[in-house]
Amino acid sequence: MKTYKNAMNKINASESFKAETAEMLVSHQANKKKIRFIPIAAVAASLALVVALGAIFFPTSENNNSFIITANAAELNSNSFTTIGELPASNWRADVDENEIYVIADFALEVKGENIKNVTYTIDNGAFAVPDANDKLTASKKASKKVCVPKRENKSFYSEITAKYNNQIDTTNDNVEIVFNPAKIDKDIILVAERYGKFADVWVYDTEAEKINNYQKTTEEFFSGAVKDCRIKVQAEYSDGTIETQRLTYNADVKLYTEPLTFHTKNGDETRNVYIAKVNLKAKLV
Amino acid sequence: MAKNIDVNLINHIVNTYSDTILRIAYQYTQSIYDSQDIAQDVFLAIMKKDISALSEEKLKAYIIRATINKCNDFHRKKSRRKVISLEDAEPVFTPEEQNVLDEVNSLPEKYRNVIYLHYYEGYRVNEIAEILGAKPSTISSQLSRARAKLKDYLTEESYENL
Repeated sequence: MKTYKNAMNKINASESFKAETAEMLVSHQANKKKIRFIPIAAVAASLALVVALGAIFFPTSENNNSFIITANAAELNSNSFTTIGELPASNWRADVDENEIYVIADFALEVKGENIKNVTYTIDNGAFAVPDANDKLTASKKASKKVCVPKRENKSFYSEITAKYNNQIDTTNDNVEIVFNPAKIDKDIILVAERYGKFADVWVYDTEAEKINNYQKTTEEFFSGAVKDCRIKVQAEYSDGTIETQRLTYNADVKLYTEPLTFHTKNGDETRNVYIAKVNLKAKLV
Repeated sequence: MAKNIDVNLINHIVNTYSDTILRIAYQYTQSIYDSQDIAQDVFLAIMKKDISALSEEKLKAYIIRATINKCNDFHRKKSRRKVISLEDAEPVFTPEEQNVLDEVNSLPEKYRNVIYLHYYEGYRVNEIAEILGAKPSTISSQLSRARAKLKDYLTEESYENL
């Protein structure tokens, strides 16, 4: 163990790091804000006012689906979930100590229709992560009240964003993402997250039938549990001032596939098939 | 009203546990800067808890567990730290040390944790099981499997020196 210990001994915290960290912690403790409680009646009154103003200024015509919503070019419908892409395996977090669970996916949504001026997306149980440098959405964003969002450099989180129809969000270039949160982080989803975490750093071989089933089931439970409570309201504002609304919800399923992997051992190379999980994100109009 | 901030406790925790956190994190990130980011996240998380009642032993176990949790969901990113001192340069290992670290790093993460806790921190199997929230039999089997794997990877000579 000598060599290992020697190597580990070289990984040290410098005095400047310790000083900076202690200073940061002191400052963080000093600046902790108290949680503010807003009386429910006040919230209800303000919501009623917003609804009333909305009814006066924005006449709506719901259930008149003259625009369509696509996600990665797939058109969404209300009959069944449509696969809209793959969830990157690294964009999830389940911090059991912090009661934080989230999954992140590319925005991918687009509205198609005629005479549409603006498109507004409003999210429940999640947030839109928008790069601070993005000027496309600057004029109309509402900060997210959701606390369970990842720390991401140069991005802010919103519960509502509006884009001009002719200049909609381009996922590839605009780098907007959706952060999915479960509505409630209860014991059940924490247990699933813990089980899923145990699969995250081991290979599952094609000879382990029971583990394979568990892997698929747990991965699916974790990802579908993380995304299924998210609802997005999509509003198209037409040139004549009318507004149409559609809503969508998400789900996820998992397909396992095998890949040959070569392990280098003292006795030579050994190739084994390992299972990899492909997580498909799905969406449906509701 | 003046806030009650225990600067002594903060200094004690940072001075005592920074090295441990960095060493565990380094095995995940292989970067001293990313490890420092993780360490600061761990410290922030610790400060949210009421740790004043914990014994030093329990506190260390809690910090190790918190570090492993942070490492498991670590998103590789540019360092958030604005100032990086020259003191914070990446460690320079001898070829032999690098070889051993490479071999240990080629193991699944949970094996690396067990190796570190057992061989570096000197914890016994039962203690590691308690820290990681696993059964002693699981840790014991992970330890033997990790050693067996390393034996396959390393030459007899370097295995003896591991």
